[in-house]
Amino acid sequence: MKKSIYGPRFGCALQGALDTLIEIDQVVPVIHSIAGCGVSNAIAHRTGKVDTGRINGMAVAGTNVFEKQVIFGGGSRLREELKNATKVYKGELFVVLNSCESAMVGDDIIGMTNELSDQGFQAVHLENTSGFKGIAYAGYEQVFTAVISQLASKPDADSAGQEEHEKTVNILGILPGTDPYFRGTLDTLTTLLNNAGLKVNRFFGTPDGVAQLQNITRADATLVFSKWGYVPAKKLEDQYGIPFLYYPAVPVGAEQVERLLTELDELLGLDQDRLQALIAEQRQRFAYYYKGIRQTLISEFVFRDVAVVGVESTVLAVGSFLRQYMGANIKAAIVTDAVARDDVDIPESGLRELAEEVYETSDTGEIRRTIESNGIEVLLASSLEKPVADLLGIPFLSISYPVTDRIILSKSYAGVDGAVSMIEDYVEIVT
Amino acid sequence: MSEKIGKHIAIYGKGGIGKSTTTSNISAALAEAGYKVIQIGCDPKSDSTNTLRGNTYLPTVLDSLRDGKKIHLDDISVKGFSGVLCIESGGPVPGVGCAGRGINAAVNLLQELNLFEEFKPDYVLYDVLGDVVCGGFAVPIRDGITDRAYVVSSSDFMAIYAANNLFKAIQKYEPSGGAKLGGVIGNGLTAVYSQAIIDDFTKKTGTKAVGYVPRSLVVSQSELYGKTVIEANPESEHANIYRSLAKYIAENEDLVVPNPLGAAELRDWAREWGDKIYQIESGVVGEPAEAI
Repeated sequence: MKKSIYGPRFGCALQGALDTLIEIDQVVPVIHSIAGCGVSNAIAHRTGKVDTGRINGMAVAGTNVFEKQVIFGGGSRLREELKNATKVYKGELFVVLNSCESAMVGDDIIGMTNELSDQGFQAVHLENTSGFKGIAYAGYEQVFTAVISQLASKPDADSAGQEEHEKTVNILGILPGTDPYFRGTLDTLTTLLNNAGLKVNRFFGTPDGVAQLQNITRADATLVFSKWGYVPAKKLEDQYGIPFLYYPAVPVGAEQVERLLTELDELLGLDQDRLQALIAEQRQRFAYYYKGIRQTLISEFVFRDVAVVGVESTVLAVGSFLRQYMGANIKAAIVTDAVARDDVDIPESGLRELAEEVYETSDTGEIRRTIESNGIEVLLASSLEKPVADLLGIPFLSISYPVTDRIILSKSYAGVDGAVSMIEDYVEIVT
Repeated sequence: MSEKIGKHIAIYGKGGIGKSTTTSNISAALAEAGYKVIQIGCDPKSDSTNTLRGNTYLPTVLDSLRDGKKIHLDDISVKGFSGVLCIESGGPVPGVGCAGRGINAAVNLLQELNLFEEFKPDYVLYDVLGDVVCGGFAVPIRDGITDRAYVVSSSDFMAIYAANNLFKAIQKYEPSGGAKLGGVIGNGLTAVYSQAIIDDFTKKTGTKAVGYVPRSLVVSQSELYGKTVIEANPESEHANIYRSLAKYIAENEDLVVPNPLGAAELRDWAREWGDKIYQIESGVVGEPAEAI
C-alpha cells in the first residue's frame, strides 16, 4: 500500500549535488532550474547552523526558469546565466546542475557547458542531478562520477615508475551537509593518513579542492567510508585501475583505525617504522582516555538499551563503538538512507549483526513510533527525534542529519579523538 | 467549470494524415451553413488554419506569450473564410522546449481571455498534432476542454496505430471527465480494401467510421491555392463529402468510449490484413475475405 512520508530528512539529487559542490573551494555552481530548487537547499543546508562553503545559500547562481523557458526551451537562458556568472564569480571550476524541469524539457546543458569551456573556463555539467534521479546522497555520487568523466586528468604514465612518487589516497563517502560531522571527520582522517606518510585528496575544507578533483584519477588508492562513495570509487577502479578499500562507516577507536592502516599498508606498502609508531601512538592514546572512565562505566551502570537513528554509515560507526566500548545494547538501528539499488552491488554493511532490530525508514512518524514501542533507554538520533526523547524522558544526543540543537564545526566521532568525544558525550547524557 | 459555450471538438491523427485539411474543410462547411466557428490549431507548426485565411500571417498564442506583453484576442486571432475565427497555439522551434506544455498553456490562456464568452461560437474545433505521445498532447481531451474527439486515419498501419493510441488516451481520461470518441474519419483512401480496413478496425474497437474521404486532386489543388475545397471548389464532389461530414459531426451525439487493441492484438490484426491484401494483390482465389 502506498503511504505518505511525514518529515522526510533528505532532499533530492540536485540538493545533494549542491551540498557537495558548495563545500569545494573555488567551485562555482550554477543551477538550471525553476526558482525554488536553490532556495530550498539553502534552507535545508543550515544544519548545524553552519555554512562553510564559499558560494552557498542564496548566493548560488540560478537560471530561475519559468513557463516561458519550459515551452520554448531554457538553453539560451542558461547561456545568459553562465555568461553572467563568469562575470560575477571568480572560481576555478564552474559546474552546471540540471533539474527536473530542464531534464524533462531536454535543455541542452551539455552544449551550454561546452560553450563555457570553449571560452576558456573550466566547466563540468551534471545532467543527472534532476530531483527525480534520486535522493540527496545520489547527488554526491553524481558530482564525483561527472568529475571523473569530464574533469579529471589522465594518469601520468611517467610518475608510476618514479621512486619518489608521493602516495596519494582519495577519500570518498563522507558527504558534506548531510553528514553534520564531515569537516571534523575529514580533518581527523587527513591528519591520520598524513601521519602514515600519505597525501590525501579530501576535496572539502581545503583551498586546493579543485586541484584535488583534477588529480582524483592520479591517486594510488581510494578509501570509501560509506555506501555513497562506492560508485565513484568503482568507476576509478574500472576506468583507471585505482584500487579501493570499502568501509561502510568511518573508523571509530584505535582498533578500527589500526585495521584501516594495516589494510592500507597491505595495499600500498607504507613506511613500516612510521606505520608502527603511528599505530602504537593511536593505541596508547585511546587506552589512556578509555582507562580514564573505567570506574564510571561500572559505577554509573551505563549499559543501556540504545536506539541509533541516521544514515547507515553513522548508525554503524556510532552503534558498533558504543556496543564494543560502552556496553550498549543496540536495541534498534533505524537507517534513514536505505534505498533499494539494482545498479550496483555494494557489499553488506554488517548492520544486521550489530543491532537487535534493524528498521529502514525516513518517516519521522514511523521512527517516533519505533522508538516509543521498543523500550529504548538512550536515543542517539537527529534533532527531529529530540521531542520523542523529551516525551519519554530518556537521554538524547543528536548525531545525525539534521542537527539543529547544537553547533558542529570541527567536532567528529571518527578516529581515536572522535571516539574519545563519543565517550564524553555518551557518558555525559546517560549519567 | 462553467457551462461550455458551443460544442468543442478535438481532431487527432497521425502527422501528415490530413487533419488540418479535414478540420479546415469541416470548419468551412459549418461556417458556410451559418454557424459561428472557431478553429484552434494545436501544433507548433502553426499551419492548421492556413487554408481558411489564405496563408496570411497570424501571430500565434505562444508567440505573444513569449513576447511577454499583455495579450488581446485581436492580436492572436483573425477571421477567415465565412467568418471562421482562426487561432494558432504555436510552440517552440523543433527540438527545443516542450510543445506539450505549450498546448496546455495556450489553451489555458485562451480560456483566461474569455475567448468563448466573447465570440459565442456554435462549434470550436481543435486541430491537434500527431500522436498522443505525452500528457501535454492529451490536454484538449482532458479536463473537460472538449467533450468529443474524432480521429483522422488512412488505412496505413501507422495511422491506425496512432488512432489506437488516441483511443487509449480517451479510455484513460473519460472516467474523470475527459472527452468521448465521435468516430474515425477515413482520409486519403485509395485502394479497394482501404475502407474495409478502417471498418474492421472500428468494429474491433467498438467505434465507427463517420465518413470516408477518398484521395483527390481537388483537395491538393485547393490547398495549393491556399483555400479549402469548400471555398475553392464549392461545386465539387469533395466539397459535398466535407459538407456531409460536417453535418454529421455537428449533429452526432452518439459518442463512445473506445476499446483500444493491445499491442499484440494490434500486431496480429495487422498481420491478418497483410495476408488478405497479399491474396488480393496476387490474385489468390480462395474463401471470400469476410470483411471485404
